[in-house]
Amino acid sequence: MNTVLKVSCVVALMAAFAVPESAKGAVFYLRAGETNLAMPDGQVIRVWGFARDTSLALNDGTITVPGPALEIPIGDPNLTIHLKNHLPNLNGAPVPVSIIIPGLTAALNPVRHVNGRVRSFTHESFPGTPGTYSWNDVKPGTYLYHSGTHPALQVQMGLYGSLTKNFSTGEAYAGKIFDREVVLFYSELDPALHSAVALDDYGPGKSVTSTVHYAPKYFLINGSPFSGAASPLPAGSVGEKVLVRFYNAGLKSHAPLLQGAFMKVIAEDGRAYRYPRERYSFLLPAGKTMDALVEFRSAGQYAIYDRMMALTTGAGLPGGFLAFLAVSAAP
Amino acid sequence: MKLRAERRVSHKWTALLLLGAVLAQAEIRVQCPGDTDGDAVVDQPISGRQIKCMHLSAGDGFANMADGKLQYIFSFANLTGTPVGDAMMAGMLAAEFPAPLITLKEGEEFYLTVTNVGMTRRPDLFDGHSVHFHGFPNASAVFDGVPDASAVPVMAASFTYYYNIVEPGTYMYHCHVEATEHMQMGMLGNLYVQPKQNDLADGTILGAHVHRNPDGAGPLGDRYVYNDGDGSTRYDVEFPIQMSSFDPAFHEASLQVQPLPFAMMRDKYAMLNGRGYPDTINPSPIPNSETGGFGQKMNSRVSAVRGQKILLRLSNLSVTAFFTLTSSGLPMKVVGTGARLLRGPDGKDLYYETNSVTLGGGEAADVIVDSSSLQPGTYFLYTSNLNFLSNDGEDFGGMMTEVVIQ
Amino acid sequence: MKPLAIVVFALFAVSMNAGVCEAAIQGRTGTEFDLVARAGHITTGDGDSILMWGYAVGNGLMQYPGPTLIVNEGDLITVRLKNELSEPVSIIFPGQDGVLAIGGNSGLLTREAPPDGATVVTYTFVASQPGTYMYHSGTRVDFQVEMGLTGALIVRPSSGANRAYSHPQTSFDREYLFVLSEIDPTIHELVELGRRSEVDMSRYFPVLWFLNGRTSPDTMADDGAPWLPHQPYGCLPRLHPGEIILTRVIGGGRDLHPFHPHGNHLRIIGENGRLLESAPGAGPDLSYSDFTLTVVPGSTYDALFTWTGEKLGWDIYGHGPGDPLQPNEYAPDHGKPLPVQLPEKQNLMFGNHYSGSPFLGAFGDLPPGTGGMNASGGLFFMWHSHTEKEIVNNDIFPGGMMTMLIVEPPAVRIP
Repeated sequence: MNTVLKVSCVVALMAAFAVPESAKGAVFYLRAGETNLAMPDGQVIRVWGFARDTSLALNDGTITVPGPALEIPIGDPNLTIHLKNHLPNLNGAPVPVSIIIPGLTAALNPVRHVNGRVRSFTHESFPGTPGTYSWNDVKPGTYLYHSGTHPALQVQMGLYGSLTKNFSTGEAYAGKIFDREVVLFYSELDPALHSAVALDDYGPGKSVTSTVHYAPKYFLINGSPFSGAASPLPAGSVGEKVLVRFYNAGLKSHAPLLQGAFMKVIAEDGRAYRYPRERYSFLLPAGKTMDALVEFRSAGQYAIYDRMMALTTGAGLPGGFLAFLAVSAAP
Repeated sequence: MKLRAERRVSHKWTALLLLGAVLAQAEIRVQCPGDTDGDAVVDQPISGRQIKCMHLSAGDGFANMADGKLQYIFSFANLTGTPVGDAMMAGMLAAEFPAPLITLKEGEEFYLTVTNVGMTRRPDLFDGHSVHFHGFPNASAVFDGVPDASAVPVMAASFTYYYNIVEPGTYMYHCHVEATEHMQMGMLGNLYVQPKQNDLADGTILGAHVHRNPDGAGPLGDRYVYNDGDGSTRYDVEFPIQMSSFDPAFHEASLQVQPLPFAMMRDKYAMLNGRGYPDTINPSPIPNSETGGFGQKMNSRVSAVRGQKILLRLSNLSVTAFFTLTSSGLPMKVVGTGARLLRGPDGKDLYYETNSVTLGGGEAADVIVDSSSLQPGTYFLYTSNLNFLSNDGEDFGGMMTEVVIQ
Repeated sequence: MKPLAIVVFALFAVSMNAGVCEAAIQGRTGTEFDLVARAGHITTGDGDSILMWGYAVGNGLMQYPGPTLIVNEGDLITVRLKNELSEPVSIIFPGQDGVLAIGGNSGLLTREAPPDGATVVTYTFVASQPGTYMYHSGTRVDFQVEMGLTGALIVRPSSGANRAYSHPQTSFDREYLFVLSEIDPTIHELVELGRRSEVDMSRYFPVLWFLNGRTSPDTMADDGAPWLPHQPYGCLPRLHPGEIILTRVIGGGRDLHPFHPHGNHLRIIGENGRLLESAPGAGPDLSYSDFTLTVVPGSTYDALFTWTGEKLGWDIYGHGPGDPLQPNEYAPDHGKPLPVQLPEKQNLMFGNHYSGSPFLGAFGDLPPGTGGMNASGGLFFMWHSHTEKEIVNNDIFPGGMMTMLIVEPPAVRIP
């Protein structure tokens, strides 16, 4: 095991120093760590998330779930993420972490267990040893980033976020113009897993040994389940072109349904369709992003809810994947 | 070990005796024009016809999951080339998971004989078996394999299906008798049809593409997923990858002759070509720990040289779940679904690019990955239903394989 | 096959031969509809009786699914709702915009009818675009759709009958509806026992699966079968060779279903009530074919299906070379013999929908006690969820989300 760890550290360092900082384009400093999320039913869930810091030296960001929204400047194909690891130990050992962007092509440096199984899709960051992750072909689009290490556990724990890049200002993809943008970032929480991790009770010989019994109880849009207290998401005014970016960081598929209006579904996983489809609802599989353009024809509040009925919070309270888009009258 | 071996033999003989008593008149018979000795291999080709034959047994066997757990299974085994007189003995307890790969060419006449060898470990069962060629267009009922709407062979009997192969694409096959049970038990296999466009003369112009065929549709020639007319579905290497899943409680109940948990079925092993990770990347056939037979013959490790176009023939035959198969940064282009080129009726190109494909049971997609933008190295094809990256209670497993670009 | 299943199928055989099948989609036509939400019990293929909530027409019985509303493009539609249940209910119409709700009380998604049996909520909208849609409760959507408050809405194009959309390339000879749904009976039991507050939808685990509100084999019984008073809609598509049927498929429940039509591919021409076209008036130029349709809950699909048996390499009618061609027969295969010999009877188990002959319109010699559910010599093709777990009724196979398509011989009349 030690050998594996050393190799991965060397790889991380090599990656960090391979390219001079100035040539890297967008640079982000992320930190993985723990925080608590309070649910509308009063439950407090221990989660892992990412914070965005201003430098490697400072820990001035806040750990959130989903993690910080990363925006890549127009025209810049390069992206570098420096990742610090402040995750707690499990089983008396540090928990490695990493970042992958499944929708973007990049060389990977997989890390294997001593038995040969891959435990991380790419090189790992350890406490005290930050890792650097680089992409040099970031195309315009809507993407998820998440941990590439032990993803069955770490993505569930909350280590995910969004990454976007526009084709030009107000143009998501070539020819896909928008006036307003709405983000709907879906994710799920199974409190049983979070509790096992918080109690250091996950792993071989512990009471939870794999994630196969996944049963999410909380369904979060932009980090929180629907509750009566939620305010609607501003979605521009009548006649404007509203770009809705959908992300599913959950492990299950969902089907957002927009009540009272049609969307033009224009892209999936950051790839624009040749022929957009006009739909009021579509399948949003686990790990996928979709982009849609909507032009509302009248002012009001439009419900968007999961037609696969993840509409509960905790032990059956109404809530879950429901949000309202607020559309104002034409100016 | 010796004891176990003897028990195996006695099981087989018990089954044979039972069959002999009950089905004295049943007949094992291979129908294959041009086959002179009954082994389903064409010995004397018939001029003007492209005849392909196979002989499958349908029966029981065992498979090991990636965590070592032994599963009792039903499935098919390949008896093509086996003398017909040896078929019963060769087919018993020989079930393969997934079922033997069937590859066909457009223009072939496919004679598929299935011999029901019975379930050796379940001598109380008298189930028929069938083949459903899933997705076969303009099907007949008699060769569709649905027991309600046709006839299926009893134990120690054979049935020969006839298929005139006219539509290329990625299909699948499975038994349709007691479908929920027999499919959960493993009677599932890959099946695909290659198009006639592969056979065009060297230098044929296909739109902007010039077809290469210097060796008569041999390894040097161009291959396509469909008759696309423009070379847009050309690929260099192909990999059939079938998703499936098992509920160990169901398999255990079957072996122990207990009531089968249909309603409570919850699959815990999610697999590619009948294996969970890391068995998916094991290049060798895997023996099962009960009989020692090598029934898990297929891996799903994808390998290519940078610049090659990789065809993934994806299908799902899980009886419980849709799965989303995603990739770590592989550019996927979907060119076909349901054994049809993705084109509108007037030829509009409906291909689309994506990073994942979601398939339910009985669904298939043809995905081309152009590796020219990939650095050499290892990538991953895995389910984004991440809880299925498990072999039941074991972590770091499940529905995942590796893609190696050299 | 299990003994109970044999009994159930035998019962069905009697009913089918006695009844008359209807090729048109059953439902309510007009522009004004009076619906009442009330309770009743449905029956399932495992012999269970399950409490459902549903939309009834006026004083009629609760029905599952609710009445199929069949309206015309451009009509102003009025739906009035009263509620005889124990909690507020409502109706929303996915895919319709500008729905106006008046009366009752305000709710989260729309105005709701209180459970007083008297208050009327009126929903009005213009059915502006043809297609297949659905309606369902907009109140505790996850729970109330599970309880049965859902139904189909069909908007016929003004361009003429027997078209799915305005374009002539959406024409059909016959049409059939497929509402796919599933339920978890434990929820319904809790409601029946007055323990509504214990219902936890996050523990949802379905064990019954439906086509048009019926489990197989009831799916194959007639529309309006008298022993299914709360499940009036059958689901038994039939066609002659070469005819085009329009299949209107609705994801009415909450789970994904892979819907597999044996016999041939579906060509999907519309989704979510919109023709798959690249530009208005282009026709279904973005339509696609598939052998299994991913049915997403909340979405609808319009697909065309046809069957001729072409290119089988043998004559599906069993003709001799001198026999006349049948309508829409594939001529190059005419008179070609079956290329294999079918095994002798003692080698085979026979299905009850098998005529004993591989040929369309022909009968063969069947052993006593087999066959019997194929009166016309038709070819039967199973249409079902390919999540095969869903073709059971709780623990009993076969059943669930499954029916048969019958290719009828040309001479057999299909009403």
